Amino acid sequence: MTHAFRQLFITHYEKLHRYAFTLLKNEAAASDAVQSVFTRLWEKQGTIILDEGIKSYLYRSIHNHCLNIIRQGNNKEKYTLYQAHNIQKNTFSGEPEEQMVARELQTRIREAMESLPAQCKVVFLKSREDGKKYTEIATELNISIKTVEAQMGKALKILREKLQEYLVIFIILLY
Amino acid sequence: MDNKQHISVTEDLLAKYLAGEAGPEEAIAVDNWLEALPENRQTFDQLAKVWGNATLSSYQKPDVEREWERFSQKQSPRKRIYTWLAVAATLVCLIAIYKLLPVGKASSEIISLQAQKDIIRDTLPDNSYVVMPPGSAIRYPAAFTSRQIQLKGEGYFEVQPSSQSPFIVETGDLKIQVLGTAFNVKTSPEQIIVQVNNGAVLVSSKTSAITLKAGQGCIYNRASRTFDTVSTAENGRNNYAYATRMLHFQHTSLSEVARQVSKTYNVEIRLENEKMAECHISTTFENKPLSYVLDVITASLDLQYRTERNVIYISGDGCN
Repeated sequence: MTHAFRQLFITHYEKLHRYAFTLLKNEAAASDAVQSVFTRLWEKQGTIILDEGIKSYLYRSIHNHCLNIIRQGNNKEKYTLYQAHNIQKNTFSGEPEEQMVARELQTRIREAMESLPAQCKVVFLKSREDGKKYTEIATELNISIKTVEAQMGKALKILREKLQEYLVIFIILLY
Repeated sequence: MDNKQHISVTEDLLAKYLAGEAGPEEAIAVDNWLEALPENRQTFDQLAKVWGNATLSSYQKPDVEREWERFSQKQSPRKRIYTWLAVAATLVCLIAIYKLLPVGKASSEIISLQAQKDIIRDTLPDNSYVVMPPGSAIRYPAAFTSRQIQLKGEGYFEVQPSSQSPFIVETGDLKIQVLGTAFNVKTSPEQIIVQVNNGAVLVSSKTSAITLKAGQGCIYNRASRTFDTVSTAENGRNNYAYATRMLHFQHTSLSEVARQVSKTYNVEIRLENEKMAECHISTTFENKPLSYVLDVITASLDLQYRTERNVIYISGDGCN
């Protein structure tokens, strides 16, 4: 069984991990989530087909698993800790050059954010800075979820355009 | 199923993904999009940077090999228990099997693999490939130094060539010996049917033996202990389409088509109306998703299908 299973694990791990990370905002928690989903699959061996249907099964399982973790609530605290840790990591770690570039980018993003249309900016900040769900933002601002989605897309698009040249350099420098 | 619904990847969706708001289908769409073009990856990296230093930008890719180590170490004790449970549960059978196995094999851990509700696809320790429909099982020594497999029910084997070690499938009175080939074995209380997809196999009973080449097959009658050879016509290969996903229909009646599709995809299909027995279809499907197969069949016969509680119903006026 391990040959087929290993293949499945290797093929999907990174993508599932990134997805879990977007939901949980924490790398260790994301790893645990992916590990549990594969463990459950392993235990179900013989009742699950290992073919293309497995892909949507895996993503669905990750989604449900992460939402459960979030619902249990112990994630909020971790998230905040993680954010603090990361800001520190970004500001104070790495080569001096990288540090400088990272700080520079942060400043540029702040500046660019100031220039966003008002509603766009509010929505973006609520999501990115406060980690609020789209539904929460929609309720708070009394707008539809579709509008939140559109405003978020618009914010990212504008920011990317404004920072385009800078991002290209930044990514070349760091990768 | 890829063609179920197409989600287009826009900035709205990417923002949704980064914000942790994407549903499973949307996440799959993003990942497919990322793999499609290197430019997409670039765009994504830029957006992820913009999204902020506190989130995905500082995201470290996991070390997949290390994660696999972590996973397999966690699972191994359980696997051992499972194996021993399987050994215990089949103790009676094993006693019989030991009599058939060559004497002196001291390392005796036996792996038992059963297809319960679904079609099982698995790779054996020698990289040979096995597919079994529900209700079938195989058993083989974990060490796999001798490539011997006991089969119950039905199995399709794609065997890795090896001149040193013959690959042997044992079932009932028969031994099927191969050096490198793909074939299907189907057993029932009355008979054993062997069909060769490519290569050649040697099928032997206690009293006689027969060689089968690609496209040939044999039916062994368990009561009379005699062989009948049959040549496998193109549509005879449908019998093991559950493994190959290759379906070939030549003026085939819809009831037969439904039976074959149902076995291949392990789904239940019901025809709502008897007049459909007059419908015939000629077509070939090579490794297509079920939805595609159903779309083509129903569209070419002007029928409809719907799925209710895992049963697929085909409806329409019948054909003339």
